[in-house]
This record gives sequence, structure tokens and C-alpha cells, in this order.
Amino acid sequence: MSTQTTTVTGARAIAAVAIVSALAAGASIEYYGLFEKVAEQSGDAQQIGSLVERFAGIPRLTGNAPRIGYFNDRTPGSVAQQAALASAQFALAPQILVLDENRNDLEYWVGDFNAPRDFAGIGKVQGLELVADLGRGVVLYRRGAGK
Amino acid sequence: MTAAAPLLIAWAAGWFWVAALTAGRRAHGPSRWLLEIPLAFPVGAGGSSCLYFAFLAAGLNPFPAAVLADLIWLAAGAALWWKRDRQPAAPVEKPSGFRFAWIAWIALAICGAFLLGAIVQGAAALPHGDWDAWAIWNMRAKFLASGGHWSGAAAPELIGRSHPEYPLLWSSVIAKAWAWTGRPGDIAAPASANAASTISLVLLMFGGLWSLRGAATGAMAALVLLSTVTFWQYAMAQYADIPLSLFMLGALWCAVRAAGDDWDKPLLALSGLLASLAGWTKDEGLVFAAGLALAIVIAARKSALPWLLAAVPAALIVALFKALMAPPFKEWSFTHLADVGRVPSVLFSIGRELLNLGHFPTHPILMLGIAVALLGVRRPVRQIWTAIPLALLAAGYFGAFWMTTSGLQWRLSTAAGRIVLQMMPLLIFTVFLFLRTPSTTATAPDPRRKQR
Repeated sequence: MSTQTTTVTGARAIAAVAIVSALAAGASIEYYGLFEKVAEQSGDAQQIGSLVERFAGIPRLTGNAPRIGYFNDRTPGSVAQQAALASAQFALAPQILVLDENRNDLEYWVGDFNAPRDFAGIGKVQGLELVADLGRGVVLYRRGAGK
Repeated sequence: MTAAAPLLIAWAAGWFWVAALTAGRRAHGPSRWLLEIPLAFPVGAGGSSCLYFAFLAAGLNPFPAAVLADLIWLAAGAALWWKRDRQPAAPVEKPSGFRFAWIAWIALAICGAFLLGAIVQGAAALPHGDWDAWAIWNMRAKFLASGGHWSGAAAPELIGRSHPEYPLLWSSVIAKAWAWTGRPGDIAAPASANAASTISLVLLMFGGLWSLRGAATGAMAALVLLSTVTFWQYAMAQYADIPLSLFMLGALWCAVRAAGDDWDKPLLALSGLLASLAGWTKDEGLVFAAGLALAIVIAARKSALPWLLAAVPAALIVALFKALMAPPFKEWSFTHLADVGRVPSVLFSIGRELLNLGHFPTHPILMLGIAVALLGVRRPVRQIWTAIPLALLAAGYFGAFWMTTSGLQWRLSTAAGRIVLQMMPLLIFTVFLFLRTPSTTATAPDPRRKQR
């Protein structure tokens, strides 16, 4: 077998290595600059750390119940509703949040609000008693006489 | 104890396994370490996390499950290494040397330093990773790290937001580290695991191709990978896609190496183990594992048995998980195959994501093209089977988009980028495998050795 079939020598080999090296170095410098800008904009850009803190009191108040109900004040079925639910679920795992108002087997319900409201009144409409207002829009309810 | 420490225990365990199973065909010089160290991470983290999950399923609490899993995997690897490392190693063909390889090494050092900087910056900007990292992988890891709650990781209530039907290897890796420290949610574990898999993937590309095609080829392939902007994005995002690519590349490298050594059984076993671990990482890994199994059965025939046997344990975990735990979720429907109008949308979207892999003139596909044009393809073209897993993976992704039950545009916008990224390391590796090796002098190949 001819060696030229498996190896390449001379200018072509040097050019290949040099061109790829130069382009890759340029790409890395550019990408690092891009990500440095993103990083400079803010620490914890998605605020997951503060979201975890918002729900910190729930496990203790619910006795670490494996499943708890959940509702929020975003438009039902919207991306905002799903995003709020996903971040609350991350904060509260291993407790499972249930977004289903027809589930009558759940004792505790978490309300997740964007702004101050009549939390007790909202719960009453759904047959839930206000247990605690944990601040920053997080409210814990308990199933009342009937829903 | 920092949450990163358990990852080091698993990594060390993986090194024993890799050193033991490559003992008969050890690479030479620095490429040995550039190969064994990155390959040790998926073997160690993957194997021990499978044990961890099995112990949780058997009823153990997270802490004893984590300690036992790591120590058993470490002890078994060390025992195997003790037995096999003393055996005489067969001579391994040294790839052609290239006097100007230092150019690529310098570039690799520069790119690597910038990547490390970006990973650190990313950990500060997104300490919990991007959406899928915290909403899927790390969230489910919290179930696996909390006593008595492990099965909640596949709770049907999570459908629609956290994919409880997805495999659990990556969540188990993170959960095991949390279980050691007793601090579920500690950001050090996922950030460290993500950094380890990102760095390992680059080093495996470098060291893997170095051992097969020489240092210049290995460095060039790693440089093309480092020119992929989405690789940087996913390294910051802490998704499971880079770990998946690591398992897939490791499995393919082991298979290629085994093929060049008369289907060396321990290397084939390592390939089968890594392929099955890819299947336990993400569903896409199952398609890859099936593709590699098919390729090896075609190429090796009866010699493929060690590969198949080594794939059984993790495959069994996946099968039991899918059959008994994962909630039913209909992701695809064959009825959509009748909708031929989806094909242009899928092709356009994949084409767009290929363009999004980089910025011209430093685009990785352009760089691959330059390498092909200047180095040329090895003649005669051998071992076409190595392209089968990549081809089947591409076909599988295409079919999955075509048949998706989700909104096609939504599915394409959220998944096309990541599937293109998952395939990039395999594409780069396969292309460089078929290219001629830069060499200082034309040297005659050893006629006693098979051409890899």
C-alpha cells in the first residue's frame, strides 16, 4: 500500500494544521467575549436562587407532604404559568406539586402570586383556608370544609 | 465535604476500569493519559450512578446507597486493574509523527483556557444552569437524593413540565454527589459534573484521535469541536447533552480501537458499557446504542458478543425503568408520516441549526471542509461501519421530528439545536478518522497491524 494513501506531508499538512488552529483560536476568543458579556449582565440571571428562598418555609409547614396542590395567578395554559410552576417545582422537590384543582385528596395547597391580593378571599372561593402568608407572593392554604 | 469530591471518587473508579480494560492495548506516551483520564469520567460516573439507582430501588437510603455504589465500583475496578494490569501488553502501532503539531497544541491551549474561563463565567451567570438543567435534570435529582422519594422522579404529575419519562443517569450522577454531602440542591455538584464532562469530551476527542491518527489530527479535531459555539452554550447551560455526547464518543472510540486490534474483547466490552450508559442518559442515546450495536454486529459478527453482554446491565435498567416506572408519554405517532409537508420544515430547521453551530469564517463545518480539502481522504476507505451509528442517529432524529405529537415548530425550536450539537462530536471524530494523517515523513505502515 502506498504511504501517501494514509499520510499527507509538506505544505498541505502544515496549511491544514495552521489554518484550523488560527480559526479555532479566533473562534474561542470571540465566544469567550460573548459569554463574558452575558455573565457581566447579572449573577443568577434566572433568579432560581431567590425562587428557592421564596418557597423555603413550605416543607416544614406541610410536614413534608409528598404531594401538595399548586395554583398561580398567571393565565391558565400560558408559558408564564408553566414557568412559574416549573420553578416552584424545582424549589419544592421532592414534594410533588399538583396543578389540578379537582384533586380533593390533597390537604395543602400553595398559592404563587405575582402581586399582593386578597389571599384569604381567593382561598375561600376555592374552599381553602389561609394557613400562612410567607411573603413575596407565596401563600399556604389548607383544605377547608368543602371545595 | 464539597459536593465535587464524590465525583472525583467516581472518576478514580472509572480510571481503574479503563486502565484494566485497555491494559492489553495501551496507548503510548502522553496520549495514554489524554485518553484514560477523560474516558474514566463517563465510565466512573455512569457505572456508579447505575449502582446508586439500583440500590435506591432496592430500598436503601440515599447516603448508604451513594457510599456503597462508589466504593463497590471503585473496588471492582481496582480488583480488575490489579489482575489485568500485570499482563504483558501487546505492541501498539505508533501513529505518524508531525513536526508542526505544536501549532495545533498552542491553539488548543489557548482555546482550552478560554473555555475554562467561560465555564467559570457560566457558573456565575447561571449557577443552577439553564432551564432544562434545573427544571428537569437537577429537579429530578432532588427526588433521587431524598430518602423515600426516589420514585417521585418519574411521577406522572410531572408530565408536561419535567419529562418524568426521561432516563435518569445524569440525575443519578448529581443526586449521588448530593447524597454524599447531605445537601440536595447544592449547585457545586451539577456545576462540577458539567465541567468534568465538558473538559472530558474535548480531551477524549484529542487523546482518542491522537492514539489512532497522531497528535496533529487529535488536536485539529478538538479545535473544530471548540469552534462550535453551541458547544460553549450547552457547557454553560449544564444540560445532559454534553454528557450524552461524551458517552457516545467514548463508545465509538472503544469500538474503533477494538476493531483495529482484532476485535479486542475488553475494549469491545467497554464500548458496549458506554453505549448502554448513553441510552440511560437520554432517549437519543438508545438510538445511538442501537446503531452502534448494528454496526458492530455487521462488522464483527460473532466477535460482537462481549459488546452485547457488557451492554446488558444498563440496558436492563433502562428497560425496567421504561416498563415499570416511566409514565406513558406518546412522543411520536406514525400517522404523522402521512404529513409529507413536515419534511421541508424539518430539513430547513436542521439546516439552520447547522449554520448556527458557529460564525463565519470560524464555522466548524467550514473548518471540517478545509481539513478534508487539505488532508484528503485515506485510500482505500476502510471501516465504513463506523459511520453507521451517526447515520442512524441522524435518521432517528429526522424521523422523531417528522412523527412528533407536539407542535412541530415548537419541537424544532426547542430540540433541533441540541440534536445537532449531540451529533457534532461523532461527526468530527468520524470525519477525521477517514482523513489522511499529517506526517513529517511518509512512513510505511506496519504490515502486521490492521488498519484502523
